[in-house]
Amino acid sequence: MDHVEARKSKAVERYLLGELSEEESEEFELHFFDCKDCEEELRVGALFAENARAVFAEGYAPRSWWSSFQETWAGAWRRPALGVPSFAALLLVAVSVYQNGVEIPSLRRQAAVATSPQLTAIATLKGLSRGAESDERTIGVPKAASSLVIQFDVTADPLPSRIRCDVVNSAGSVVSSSVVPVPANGTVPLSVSTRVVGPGSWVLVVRDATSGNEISRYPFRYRIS
Amino acid sequence: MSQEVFTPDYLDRLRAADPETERHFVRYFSSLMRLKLRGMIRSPQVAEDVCQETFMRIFRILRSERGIESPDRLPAFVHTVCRNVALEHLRALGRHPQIPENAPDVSSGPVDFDASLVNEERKQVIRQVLGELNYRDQQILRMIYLEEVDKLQVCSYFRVKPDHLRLLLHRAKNRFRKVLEREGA
Repeated sequence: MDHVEARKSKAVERYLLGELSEEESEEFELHFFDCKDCEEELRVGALFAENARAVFAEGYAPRSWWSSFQETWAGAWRRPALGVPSFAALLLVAVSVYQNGVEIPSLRRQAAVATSPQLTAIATLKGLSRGAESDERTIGVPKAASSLVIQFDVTADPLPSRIRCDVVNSAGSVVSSSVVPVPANGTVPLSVSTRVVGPGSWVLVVRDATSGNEISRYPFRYRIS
Repeated sequence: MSQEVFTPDYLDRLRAADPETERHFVRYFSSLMRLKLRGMIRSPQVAEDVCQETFMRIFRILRSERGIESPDRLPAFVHTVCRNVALEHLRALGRHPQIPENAPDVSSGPVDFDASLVNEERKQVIRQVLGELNYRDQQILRMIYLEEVDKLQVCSYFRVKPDHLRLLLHRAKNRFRKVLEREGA
């Protein structure tokens, strides 16, 4: 047996595991009596075997990675010198994982949405005249639409320079509010995100941004078309 | 390798009982013989006796008329003499058992030719190496080294191929060597 053959046949490991036949053992022994590399491999293997046997005999029990982890860290929390930096490091890792896994991808998606053309629904609303009960208009909005543009005429005289637009749900809560300038022709195109409004009944309440006086109400029903 | 170490001059010095050459010879072949004998003989004392007897016979043969002529044949020659002496000892032990029946079972203890093989630093390295292995591989090594379960049974129990045992041993051994070298243990 030469060295190439010994390596190829994994003779060292097979010899250590007692897998070689008597004849093969004899051949390999004749080889390692004359081969420093194989002798060294065997010597390390014998050291490993004897010390492993001793460690197991002393009661070393195989452990899963989880129990090793628990054992390593269980006591650490009780020692501030190790526990505090470790906790800080874990917190940093958790924040980093959250940012990289959740926050940054979400911001990237939002940035992509903001810079690419989006489907929008447009509807023109008429204001309720004073004393009218209801004049709710149904607006069909495509499911994929990212926003709804509501056009309405500001009927005040004189026209206020700025108005506050509150979108109110059927429970009477304001879900969106913004102050916008009023164009000279009095027609305001107001964009509302479909993340804010959805199917159901809504009212757009328009007030003078300066005085806070209500100018008009624009009820509408949102429906997925 | 034998051509580099065992030259005709080396052989002449051995025949002439040069102390330095004899010391080198004994040191060189002692570790080899121990590696060979650990698979054959469990008792450290018997193994030591086999080594001593082997060296005595070799020196006697070298200095006799029938001494070996080719120095590069020395390793094979030592191996053959060692095997013969070991077999003689085993036969003698079979005829006259030296271990009383009520003596502690030597097979349950470590097979240790040389107490210096096992020490605390090396055991610490072993614990580290074992800790890096997965649970199944730790169990496999425990079965092989402590419980001395038959390898085929181990393979069957854990549903692994014999190649896995060799690979596991190879990797664990190499890791052990690396950590030992790094820590100088």
